[in-house]
Amino acid sequence: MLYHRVNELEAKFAAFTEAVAHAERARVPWQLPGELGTVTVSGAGELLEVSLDVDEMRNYTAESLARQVLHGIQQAEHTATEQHAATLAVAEEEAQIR
Amino acid sequence: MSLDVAKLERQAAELDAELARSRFSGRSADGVATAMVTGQGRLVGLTIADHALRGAHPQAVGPAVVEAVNAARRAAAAVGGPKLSAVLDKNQEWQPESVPPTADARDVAAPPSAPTTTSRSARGEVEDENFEEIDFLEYPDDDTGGRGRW
Repeated sequence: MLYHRVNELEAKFAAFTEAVAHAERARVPWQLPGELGTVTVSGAGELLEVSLDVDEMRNYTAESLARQVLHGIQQAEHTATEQHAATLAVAEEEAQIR
Repeated sequence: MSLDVAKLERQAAELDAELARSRFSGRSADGVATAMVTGQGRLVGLTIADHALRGAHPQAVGPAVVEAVNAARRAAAAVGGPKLSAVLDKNQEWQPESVPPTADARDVAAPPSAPTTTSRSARGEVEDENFEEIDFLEYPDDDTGGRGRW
């Protein structure tokens, strides 16, 4: 009985750990206004990529471009934070020992 | 020696406030982008050099932004990490910074500031880069410092 219980706990812990790792590996893109490009952050909050359309960039000044990219990164990171928290909440719920 | 939970919580809150006030900046190797983050790693400012948009390699802007943000976060982590360890380590005694918040900023490079508060010195330093010596087509894979923040 105890053996099966321990196995169950280990399996749930492994599933929880994998869910967290999966959430942190996720890529969260954020579309910049118009066709300017995309900002991508990881589920763990790391800024992975800023991809900008060279032709579209020419419609911006350096200052306005920086403002748009800054806003995009902040929004992408905010989204990633929320997604990460939601994933953790689900994983915690599923890992509950009943 | 027993764990003083109340003291730990108070110090953690003080450190959190201190890190929120602190500012750290990082710049891409080519000088195209400069980012500013709080001690907690939150991105609060970004500047892009004027010449980058009109130059021969505007495609370098995106990677430069990533490089600058990750450099700023590395700088913040280099200071915040040991402070957090000091708070958590019961054998160490951590004291909050006594200097005013405005003097607390530790800029790795010249203050880049947010787009609305770009300083003359920061712009000057960025624009004084010698770009003839920079290979814009080669980006070092050195972004590992911007690891996950939560």
